[in-house]
Amino acid sequence: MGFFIDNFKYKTTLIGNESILIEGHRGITSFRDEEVIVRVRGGSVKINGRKLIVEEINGEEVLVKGSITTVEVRV
Amino acid sequence: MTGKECKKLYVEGAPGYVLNLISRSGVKVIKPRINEKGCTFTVSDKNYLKTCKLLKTNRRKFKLECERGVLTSIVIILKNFGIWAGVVASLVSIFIYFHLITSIEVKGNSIVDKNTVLEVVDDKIKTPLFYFSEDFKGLDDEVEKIDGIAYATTRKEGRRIVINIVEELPEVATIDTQNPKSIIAPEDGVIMKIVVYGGTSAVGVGEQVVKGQELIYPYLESTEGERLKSVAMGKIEIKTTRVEEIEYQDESAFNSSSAKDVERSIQNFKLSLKEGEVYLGSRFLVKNVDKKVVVSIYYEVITRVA
Repeated sequence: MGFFIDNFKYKTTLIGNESILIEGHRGITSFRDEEVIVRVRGGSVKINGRKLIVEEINGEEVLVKGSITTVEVRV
Repeated sequence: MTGKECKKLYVEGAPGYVLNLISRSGVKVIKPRINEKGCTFTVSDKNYLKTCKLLKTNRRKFKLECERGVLTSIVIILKNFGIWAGVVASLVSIFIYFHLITSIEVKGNSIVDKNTVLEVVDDKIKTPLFYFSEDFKGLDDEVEKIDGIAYATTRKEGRRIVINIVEELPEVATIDTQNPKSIIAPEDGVIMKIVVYGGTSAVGVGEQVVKGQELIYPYLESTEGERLKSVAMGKIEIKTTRVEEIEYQDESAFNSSSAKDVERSIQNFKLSLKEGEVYLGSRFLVKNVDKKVVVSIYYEVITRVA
């Protein structure tokens, strides 16, 4: 499952409820076990869940793993 | 990633800031983890210096936690010591095996040499593979391939391997005692030796015989001249000469290849000898016929007739 918001020039791919890949991010605002906030162009993506970990991060992508319950897109 | 060379770093301060700082510079940050005062993360060896430089520029306190991951460590250990570990394991298994099989016993052989059997089975038995597979059937098949062995059964008795063999019976010529026949010369030659076990000798030592000539008659002669039927038996050795000719078109062909041809012919002749034939020697004669050169090789052979 995935969705792409063309206007904001970033892409979020949710794989099951176990991992989420955000391409075109602008940095991490915060990351904790229950919450990871990733800044994207024009807003942020808030990932809620349990045992969340940032698996990998580079200039383009961030991969978050754990038991994801909700993904909020804030514009 | 953990399989490659990588370095784990600990950085004090806001984790989000640190991660964004590093990731924006194009460095791939792996497994960032927050702890009390900062965070730890892993970067590849290639990006390590770049990351350090970046953290120094931004006045971040950091330290190298670990040179590589656990998996990488295992891989490196295996790379360095894997071969040695394999060698040691093989030596240990061979050592154990050699102590498990103490001896190989061959039973039932009277004609076939024991060493011939051992040569065949030794390489096959003294392997750890055989110990685990215990392929006795395959071993039996190998033993049965030996000339003179009709049947073989192999079994393990404790730490011993016992090979029971049944030899092929030698072919026995059937003798018709009612209608005994003479012993006949198989080819032309000179009698070198004659020992008569039954019947009457027809020729003497040094006598020239021709193919088909009777050598021992199938009867005994009484003093009164009466003939009694008897199986003709004895051992006769006839010296025979066999001829082979090699023809060359001219002298140059003769000069270039005759030496090798003669040598090859002698070797082939020796190999072609049948059971009961003994090679004595050879001589050769060179003749010019027109432009051709003919080499005649004379082989001297002792033929045993029984």
